[in-house]
Amino acid sequence: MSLFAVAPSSLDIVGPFGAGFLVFYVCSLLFIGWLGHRAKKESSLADFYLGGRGLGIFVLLLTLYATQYSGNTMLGFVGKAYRSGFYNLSGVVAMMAVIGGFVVFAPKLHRLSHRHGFITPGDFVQHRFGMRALTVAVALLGIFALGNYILTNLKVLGLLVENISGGTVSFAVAVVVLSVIMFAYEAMGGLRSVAWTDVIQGVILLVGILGVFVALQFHYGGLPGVSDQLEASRPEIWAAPTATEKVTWLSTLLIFFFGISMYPHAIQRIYAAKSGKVLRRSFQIMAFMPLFTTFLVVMLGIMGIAVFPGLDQEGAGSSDEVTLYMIADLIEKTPLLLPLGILFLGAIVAATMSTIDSALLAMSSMITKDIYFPIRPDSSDRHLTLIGKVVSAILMAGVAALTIALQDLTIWRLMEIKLEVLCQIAPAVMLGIHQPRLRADSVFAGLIVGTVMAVSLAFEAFELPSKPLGVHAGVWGLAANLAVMGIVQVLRPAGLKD
Amino acid sequence: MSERSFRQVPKTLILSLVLMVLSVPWWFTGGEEAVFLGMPEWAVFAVAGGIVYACAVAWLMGAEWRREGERGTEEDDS
Repeated sequence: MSLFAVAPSSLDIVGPFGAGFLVFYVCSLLFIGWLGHRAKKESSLADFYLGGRGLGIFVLLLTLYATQYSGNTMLGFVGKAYRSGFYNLSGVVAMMAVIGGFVVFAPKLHRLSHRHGFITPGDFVQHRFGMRALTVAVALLGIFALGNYILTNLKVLGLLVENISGGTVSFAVAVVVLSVIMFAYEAMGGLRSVAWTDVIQGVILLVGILGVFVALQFHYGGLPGVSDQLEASRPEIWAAPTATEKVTWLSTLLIFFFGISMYPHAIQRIYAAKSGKVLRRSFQIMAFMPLFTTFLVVMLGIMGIAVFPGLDQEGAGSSDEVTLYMIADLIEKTPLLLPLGILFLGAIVAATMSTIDSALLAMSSMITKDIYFPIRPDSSDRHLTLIGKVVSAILMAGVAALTIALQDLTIWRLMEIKLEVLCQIAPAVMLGIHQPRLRADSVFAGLIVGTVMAVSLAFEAFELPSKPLGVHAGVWGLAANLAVMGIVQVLRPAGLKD
Repeated sequence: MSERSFRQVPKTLILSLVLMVLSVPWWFTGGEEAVFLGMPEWAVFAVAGGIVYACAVAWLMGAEWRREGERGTEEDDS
């Protein structure tokens, strides 16, 4: 039996039933946001941005899960797996490496955050190094990365809704309406609302992915069932990676290890955990989640090669939309799978929204606490919370406008530029938390040099490729960061204070 | 902060990084690949390496947390 299919010209998959489900789902998020507002215990920053530091294992695990896996996972990763084949399995270990990064600093950071009342990553940096310029630099890098993250995911959201509605809902309308909804439930209950909505989003995400994976096994016979077509259409994906590709593989693991573990919203979940035991168990389970998420979406992309060969060629569809083509094909050939297809599309929407709302909340907290508060140190918590909501509204409006204006950058490239920058924060956190002799001036010098180098290389400023010798610009930047930090640390005697 | 913690943390970091390096399919080079479960041998190695890495991370997380608990108690007592 030939599995070949042609990329559909319209992806109007959901129909009235699916549209109803998605509208119901989005409305339920507003209701949960209101419940989060009702559960508010006090008008404090810790209550708004950290849910009162009371997240239990169920909520914490699902909010970590829903936040870590985003629209990039469901569309960007699948598209990349379509283009790179089995090589993209590096993404599975890379997502595990993120938890490896947390091992280095989360246990101690959690204890310190409860003792000293940290709200943002900048609070730890300020407490540890006492250098305002370094704190602001860390906050600005975090804000840049999160802004980028929201931009990427809003783009995914807009494209997705436009596609699955067959163009009935335009990209711009989807971005604006969903941005307003995300802002609304976030402003109502802060992290409590965001984490509670993440529970629903995490469950939909996991059930949707597992359900589609099972359907792929029955429908196409899994990977063994499509291996003949794979060999015929893309024989090169069977070959082991070249030496340079293996170096890039390792570089990907490093950039995830040092970059994604520095996401401000992930660090804030370390602060928000009810206890160390809850956090430890959540991370231990999270270490295995890539097997049930990333691995399955990579398989989806590879099977897409067999079912939709020749995407990205003239007149064919885009590989970034192979997820949608596969779902459409499953539903077309087996109409009984329509509810599963709708659930999976709901999962993509859920994953994307849960990532955006968390990033928005973290961005708002950093602007309010790390930048505004030092200028107005006499502000009350109630005033700062209000400022945080105003900042969220401005940010959401600004990023939504940018997303609509910048539609033609590819999803994966945006994600890489963001991680290049985030990596540079890692020495301040991972080494700063354990090395008492590490000084603020050396960390600051390293961070500036590392960031300049990473951004310059990423944009090919030195007429070098963006990945010299197969290594990401962020990893080169991190190497320069550590080297400069070490030199300044050694050249300036420890007895000298800033 | 004790000297013990100064030494132990790089050990966690280094162990995690070494396991990550080992999970890369360095030992496989081009040519004909045996196929297992619809995947080439090197891809199966990568997935297996990932599973071993995840187990190691889960264990390290538990071990590091126990040590941190002891450190916290020591600091609270002092």
